[in-house]
Amino acid sequence: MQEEKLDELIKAHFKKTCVKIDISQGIMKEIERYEYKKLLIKNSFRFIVIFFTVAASISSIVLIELLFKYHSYYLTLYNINIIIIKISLEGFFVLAVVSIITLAFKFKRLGLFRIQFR
Amino acid sequence: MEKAKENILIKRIKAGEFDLFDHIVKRYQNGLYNFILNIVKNTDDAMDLCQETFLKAYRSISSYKGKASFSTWLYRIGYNNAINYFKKHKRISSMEIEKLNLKCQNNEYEKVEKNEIKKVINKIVEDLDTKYRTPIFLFFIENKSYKEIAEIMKIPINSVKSNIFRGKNIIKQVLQKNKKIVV
Repeated sequence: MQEEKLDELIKAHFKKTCVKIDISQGIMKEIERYEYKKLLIKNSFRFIVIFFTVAASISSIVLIELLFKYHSYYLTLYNINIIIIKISLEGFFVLAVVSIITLAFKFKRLGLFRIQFR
Repeated sequence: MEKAKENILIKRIKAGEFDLFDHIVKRYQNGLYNFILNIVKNTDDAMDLCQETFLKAYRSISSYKGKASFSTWLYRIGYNNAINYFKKHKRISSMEIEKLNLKCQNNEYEKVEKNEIKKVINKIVEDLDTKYRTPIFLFFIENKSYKEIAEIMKIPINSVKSNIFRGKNIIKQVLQKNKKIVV
């Protein structure tokens, strides 16, 4: 059998079995649903992160205030327990700053700084 | 749809204009559906897999870098879906050449009349193993190049060439063995 004829027969077979469909409406509905869910999750996540960031900022400010207020007193006492408290307070402050910076980068990467109106 | 236009469309979809994905679906739905149908051989499953493929493509459109054409990327997702479906349902087609040759030896195809060569072709192609049928479909119907088929099926280009050649050879052999319908 000639190669061309065989190719033609194979093509004809596939063309004959080809079916036309229309699934665009169903898919677009699914995509709309998916987008809505995504937005909902994004907004919830944004709210939680903002809430915790603000809470962390306020608490670190309060702790810094306390630290400065009692700093000299702590140094004069040379009490080991107080020094530990002081170190942990400073550590908390550093952690808060680091977490805020990390979250800010995460925000930027997720595109959460972009305001969405839908 | 031109490639440049398609790229602009994809950029806009990536930017958040998800309504435009409708154009993509309308453009590829028939081709993708028939491609999947050729692998799974079940209309309902093919429809589900086709929808799943489009949704997967939409969800991961940000990962499309434009190295390959969009259709190749989409067909690759479809192919993976179909293969996973097979693995899940443990219905991998075991129709190998030997099996096909056995059918041929049993003169199963000889029952068909001389003027029904198309019917014989249909039967042979349907019985052909997926690894031969898929590249043949992509090559003849979707007009994909060897390189594109290799990307879709994730196999070397030489394997694509040899699979198409072998697939055609099987069809040829079966036709030739059937004396009644040899042209």
